[in-house]
Amino acid sequence: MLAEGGDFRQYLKPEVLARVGSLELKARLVVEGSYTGMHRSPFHGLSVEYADHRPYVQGDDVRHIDWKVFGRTDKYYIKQYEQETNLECMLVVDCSESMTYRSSAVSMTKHEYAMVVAASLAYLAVQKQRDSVGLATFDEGLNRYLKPSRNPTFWQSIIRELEGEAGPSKTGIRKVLDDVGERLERRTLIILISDLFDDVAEILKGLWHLRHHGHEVIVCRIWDPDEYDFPFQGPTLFQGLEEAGSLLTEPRSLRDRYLQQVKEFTSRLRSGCHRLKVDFAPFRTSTPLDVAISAYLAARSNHIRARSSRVLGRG
Amino acid sequence: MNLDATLTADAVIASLHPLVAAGFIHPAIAAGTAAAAVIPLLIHLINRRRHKKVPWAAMNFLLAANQRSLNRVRFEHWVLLAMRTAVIVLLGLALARPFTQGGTLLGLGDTVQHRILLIDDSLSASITSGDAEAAQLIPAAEAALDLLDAFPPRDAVSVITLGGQADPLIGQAAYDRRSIRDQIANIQSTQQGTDLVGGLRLASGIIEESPTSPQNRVVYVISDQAATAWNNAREQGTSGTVKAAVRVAERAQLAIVPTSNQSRSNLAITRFVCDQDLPGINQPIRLRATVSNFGNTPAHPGDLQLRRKGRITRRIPIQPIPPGQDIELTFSTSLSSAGIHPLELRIVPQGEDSLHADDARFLSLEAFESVSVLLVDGQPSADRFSGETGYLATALSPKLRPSDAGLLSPKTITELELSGEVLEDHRLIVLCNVQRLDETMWQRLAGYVRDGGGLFVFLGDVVNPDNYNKTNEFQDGGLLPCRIGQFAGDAADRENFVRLKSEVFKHSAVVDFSGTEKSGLFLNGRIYQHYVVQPLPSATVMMRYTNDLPAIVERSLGLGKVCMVTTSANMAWNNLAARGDFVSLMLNLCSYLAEDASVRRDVLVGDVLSEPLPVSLASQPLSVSAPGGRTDKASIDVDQTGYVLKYGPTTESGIYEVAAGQARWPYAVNIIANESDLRTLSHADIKEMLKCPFSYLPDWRQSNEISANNASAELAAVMQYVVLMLLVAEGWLAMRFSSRR
Repeated sequence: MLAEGGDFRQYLKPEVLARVGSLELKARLVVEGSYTGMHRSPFHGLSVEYADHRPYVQGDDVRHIDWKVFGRTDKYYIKQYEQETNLECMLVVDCSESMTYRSSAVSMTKHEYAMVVAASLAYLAVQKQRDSVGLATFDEGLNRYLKPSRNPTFWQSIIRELEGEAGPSKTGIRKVLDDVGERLERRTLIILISDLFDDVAEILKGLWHLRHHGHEVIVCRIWDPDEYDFPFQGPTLFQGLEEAGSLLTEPRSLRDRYLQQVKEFTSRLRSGCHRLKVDFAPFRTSTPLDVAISAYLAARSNHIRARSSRVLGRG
Repeated sequence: MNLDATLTADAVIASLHPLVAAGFIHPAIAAGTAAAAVIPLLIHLINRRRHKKVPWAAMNFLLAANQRSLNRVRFEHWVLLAMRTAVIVLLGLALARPFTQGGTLLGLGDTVQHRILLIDDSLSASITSGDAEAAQLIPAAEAALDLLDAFPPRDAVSVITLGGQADPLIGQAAYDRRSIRDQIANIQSTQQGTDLVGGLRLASGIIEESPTSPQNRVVYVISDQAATAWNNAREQGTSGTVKAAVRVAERAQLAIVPTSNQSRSNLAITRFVCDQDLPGINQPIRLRATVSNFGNTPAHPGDLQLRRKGRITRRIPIQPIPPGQDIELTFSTSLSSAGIHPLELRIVPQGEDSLHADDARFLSLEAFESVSVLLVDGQPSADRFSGETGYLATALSPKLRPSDAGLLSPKTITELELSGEVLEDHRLIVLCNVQRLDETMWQRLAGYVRDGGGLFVFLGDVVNPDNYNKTNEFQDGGLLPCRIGQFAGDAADRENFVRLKSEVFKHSAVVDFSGTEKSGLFLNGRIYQHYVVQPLPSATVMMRYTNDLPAIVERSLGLGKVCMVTTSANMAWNNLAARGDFVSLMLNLCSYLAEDASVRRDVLVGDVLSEPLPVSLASQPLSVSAPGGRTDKASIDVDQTGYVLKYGPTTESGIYEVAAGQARWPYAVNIIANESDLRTLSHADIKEMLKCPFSYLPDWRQSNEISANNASAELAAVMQYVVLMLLVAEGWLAMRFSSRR
């Protein structure tokens, strides 16, 4: 939720950005050209803006030798161009009713937490990395869809879309992922931010569909601490969000079985993601944002670096 | 044993299985327990209503978890709920004290019984045979000790004595047999009547507090079954006794234990009184006595002996008395000195006489040398008989000879002199045609009457009725016996008159004039004028005129009396003073009004001796000599009227002499006349009278059969053990269920 006066900066938390900005989001292995390191494009003829020269090394394409420089200096230089889009990122944010839950111990609902995460990542990508970022919000189906853009002002459009409240609808992840996958024309880094309260098999099918189209996916699961720990005591009427019914029970008698259900769900989801080579990142809304994002991106960076090394080694 | 219980509903219940026939000592608690059984369920439901609400996102996990454990948890909840409900129900039932009838339930339960012994220690029940006298036990106590030996050692025992006023000697359930035995053995005859109603009511009270079930309570009435004990005059015959007995029988087993199964002969003096209100010295004093034969054969009592201080002063021969009849004797004596004299009247039975205490009866008689009467003349005159009081003064103190000295000593004053008189110096004040008195004087007169003085009022032509009628508005009941209305008749018209109406008079002051219609008072007395009065509800019309209007009206006020004659005291409105019976009528009325009723020196055994004392005596050491030669100290109480002598209650009949310094005066203490009647009720008599189940135990040593046949078992202790086990089990299960979760 945006604060009064539309100050979207509250979602950016400068101290969070300071930590995240020091990490190399650029190094993520995404879509096209991720393995080229610092924004090397796998596509020819698309670069139009001159960037720099470098000495020719064996293996370089001779077509890229700048003959004019050779004429003046009698040395081979390769002419480098800056590519328009090196990384394309799509933030897929859950706005269903289940995201509105907030326990008394924390200050943000899951939806608010997800907005901050999404805004932070969008800012990183657009303002710091000059990457293309798009946004998709969903509940039962796809609500809003903003195609990825690298225009610095586009980031504010993303923020405005994120300002919307979570609706009363259910979560329908597979359909949304299928829809997003169909809309994306290029291989994209898709960051799914949701509590994932949906059928695991359906979620995994949606992820498989994205991976099948060559997209890289990061799944950010955001839960409230209550949903992890189930600390309730005394007779309690649980009123299910998303029309899930209600249950009057003594929570202590159900806690162990509930936690067992959570554990099974998480295990199935984690193993499915691993199988699909999808990163799975669980968050608690009580976790400080900078710590969570930094920790995750650090781990992600290492992962990307390792993959990049393997790709370059083969090339 | 002879059980009289008919096939009542109780008997039907008793024939059923013990569990079916179960009852509760405290049924109200049992009913409350039924309501309390829903408490756990209510708590459960209230808790369900008092839940908190949580909007929950991860509902799928919760529903799945709940589905897996729902049935088991629900079963565990119901088990714990059932156990908690059972704990409350059983605890409540234990407090309600359930019991079975006709025996124990599968060998469980307590069968302790509560035996309540009503021991008759009245005079009639204390007649002992020669053997028992050696043991110095009254028959009822002897029977009680035998019963005590027959009771099982664990049974509880309570003891009530019936002599005089029923007394809970052991009012609680007691178990110390040695102490109980000692207390029963120390019971002595009271020389008083049997308070059977009071004893049964006390037993009902003990039953209310009894720690046992109704079938385990037995009330034993150990008595000589004298008819007079059941026929309690204060309780309107036998109805009060029967009602109390039935009430006991409803909540306990009732057993009648007769200590005497046959009526015995007894000759007794049942009445000894003085017929005169103001006995004078050296004048014949009329005494009246009743001798009763309670036997089945004629009695030959020999002479009746009148004694003073142990010396026979007169012998009165008596004819044989037929069985079951009384004879009335009237005789006279004289006393030579003023003061209070003790008199004893005694018979010496010639034949069988079971009870000797009633062979003598005592009287404390005060003789007067002179009684001061103050006459207030409303229209005094130099001529004695022209005033209002001349005829009256002559009537009260007739002097046929100069040496004659009457008992009554009239003093005549005017109404103006009245305020200066010390009223308490006179026993009677007579107002004769006094026009009016101020309110202060009327108030003084009212206080004087309430303290025991007498007021006699004659009306006349100058009387102001309004002034007199205002006295009816005084506090504490007014003063005069009637409201004065208008004149009737005309004193100037001597042709028209009414007379005093002759009839059978009931009032003691004029009863002597019954049947004397030929006397001059009624035959020739003429009343030309009188007032029409309206008697107060508390007043009594002693005489009427022939026109049926009241002539003489009297009322009691406090300890004194007030009387009003509605015509004049002189011959202005009538000619009564010229009639010969006028003297007798005035003497009777004045004696009656002058009698001091503030002190009763003729009392019954068990009563307290009490009388106001002047300061001069109250400061002296007080002692009382009882008939057996024992001397006790008397106490002095202080109340609103001043010092009051207190002694007692008295324990035996005879003359008690009070000594205060040099002053001595006697009290006569007599046994209640009913106790002389030794005729007893048979088993059939009691059965017909009670009409409720009871046991008749002429051989009381078999009394334990009652408990053997009808004992019931209490299940409270068993239930308490079950509750304890349930609590332990509930705690263990609750812990186990929670650990499994």
